[in-house]
Amino acid sequence: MSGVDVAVSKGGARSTAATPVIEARGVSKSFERDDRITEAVRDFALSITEGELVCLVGSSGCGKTTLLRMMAGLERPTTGEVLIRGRPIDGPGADRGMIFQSFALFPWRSVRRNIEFGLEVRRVPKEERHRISDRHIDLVGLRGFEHAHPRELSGGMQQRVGLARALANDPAVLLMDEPFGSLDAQTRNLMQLELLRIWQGTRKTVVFVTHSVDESVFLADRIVVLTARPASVKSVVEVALPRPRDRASPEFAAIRHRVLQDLTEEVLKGMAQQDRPGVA
Amino acid sequence: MSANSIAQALLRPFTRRARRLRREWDKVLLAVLGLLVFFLLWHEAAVLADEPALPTPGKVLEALRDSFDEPPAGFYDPWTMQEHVYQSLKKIASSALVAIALAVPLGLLLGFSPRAEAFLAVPLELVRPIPPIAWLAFAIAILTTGMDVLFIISLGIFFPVFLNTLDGVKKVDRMLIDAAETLGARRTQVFYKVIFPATMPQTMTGVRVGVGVGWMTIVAAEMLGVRDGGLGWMIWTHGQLDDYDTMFAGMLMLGITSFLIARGLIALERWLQR
Repeated sequence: MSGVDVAVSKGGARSTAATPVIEARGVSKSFERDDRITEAVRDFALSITEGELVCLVGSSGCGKTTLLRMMAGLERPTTGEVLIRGRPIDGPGADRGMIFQSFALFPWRSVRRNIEFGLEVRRVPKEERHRISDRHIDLVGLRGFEHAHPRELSGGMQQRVGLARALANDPAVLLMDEPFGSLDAQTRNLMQLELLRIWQGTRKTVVFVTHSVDESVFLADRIVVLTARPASVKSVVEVALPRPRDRASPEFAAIRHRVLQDLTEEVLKGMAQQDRPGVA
Repeated sequence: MSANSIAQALLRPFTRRARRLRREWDKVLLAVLGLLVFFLLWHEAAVLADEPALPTPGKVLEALRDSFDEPPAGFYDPWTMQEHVYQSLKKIASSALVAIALAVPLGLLLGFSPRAEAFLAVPLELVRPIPPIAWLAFAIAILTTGMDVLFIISLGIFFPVFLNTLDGVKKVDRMLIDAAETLGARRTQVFYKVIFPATMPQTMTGVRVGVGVGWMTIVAAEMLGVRDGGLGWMIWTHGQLDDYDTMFAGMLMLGITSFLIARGLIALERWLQR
């Protein structure tokens, strides 16, 4: 069992660095619909440092996507604030790249033109745009498919485009909303390896939302387990295992067990809430 | 690998294409058969009725062939069929341009802004069911010759384009807008780089339906002082002259022209969505 405690991981070392890339302070979020107020997030606080890969794990409908959308600037917190490198976030911006479960590629644009979208709207000159998209086509392994349209690609390849499109903007942080959730198991495992390879190559900060415990233990430097709705931090689990991680190792199993235990508690609470509406 | 299996592997794409081709052939064959049955029933009905107002397809086709060579009724109709087709196409095309130029921005605006929709939806819904022909007297009284024809045909094209664009905007995937915003797009960029192209296919469907409606209004529209012919004018005039063979030839030609235009627009839609 020594691996869990003593293995020196780059991720663990990085998480002690000083400047947070993303910081959430006392964030709450409520939605009002049909005279009913739904509380999605309550008093959430988290600090993510440069180069860290953090997974937010929570049961479905717990508010983890809302958290990520607030970091992206697509939603505003009801109270509290989210900061990027110390500045409050007041809307979406190119410094935070988002990757969607449904890929959200522009179907009328080719792979290359999808990747160049962010550069285009920021008025990057054509030659430079081409140079940058070329580099990212190679990075995600889509050489030969530059002129293909999204519908001609498999799910895994579509998400490679999504990844390249976000990375081409050179954002400070990648916000990934269950990015591999709609892929089959084999493709999903492959994409996890690809993400780690790209992450280790680009040193990007990554916030990765998932409901898969296995995925979070495989990827993360740090796992943030969320409570049932409204979402807040249930527990934080450091994963100090060296990469590539062996899913069959006892150390892996031990961490997975720990996360699963916390998560199961919250899933059960969530189900109890659903049975008795009105009880928070 | 045996020689046989290599041959099979090489032939596989061809057999698959052959199967698809056979399906296509079946469709063409059925279409030709449908056309034959249509003409046969028409012929039988014409023979049975024995009325000059319902000529047989043979007579109509003969009149159609002749109308290409020389103006069918000298003094009353000094134009050949190709001139009529050309004049009508010109009117349809310019009316379509006018209608699209108005309907697309309006559809985008109303789809984008719920307030604009709340403000304009009811007046537009009141005008929509009025058939373009009902505007004839108004068009004659208010508008100059030429403009009145344009107005009547444009009315027919406007609403399908407008309604399809409006519906298309509302159906744009929210995620695409979110994606564009997180990539740094500003509001105006979201509009012309996401909402507009995402709506294009349905706008094109609206154009196709609208142009079809435009053809339906052309006989009425061309009853208004036309100085240079047109299919609608020709059908109307030969009906007045009791020259039913040529009248039906004009009707048949209108059907054929409209059919070909619709096919062309479908091909254009496919090409744009490529």
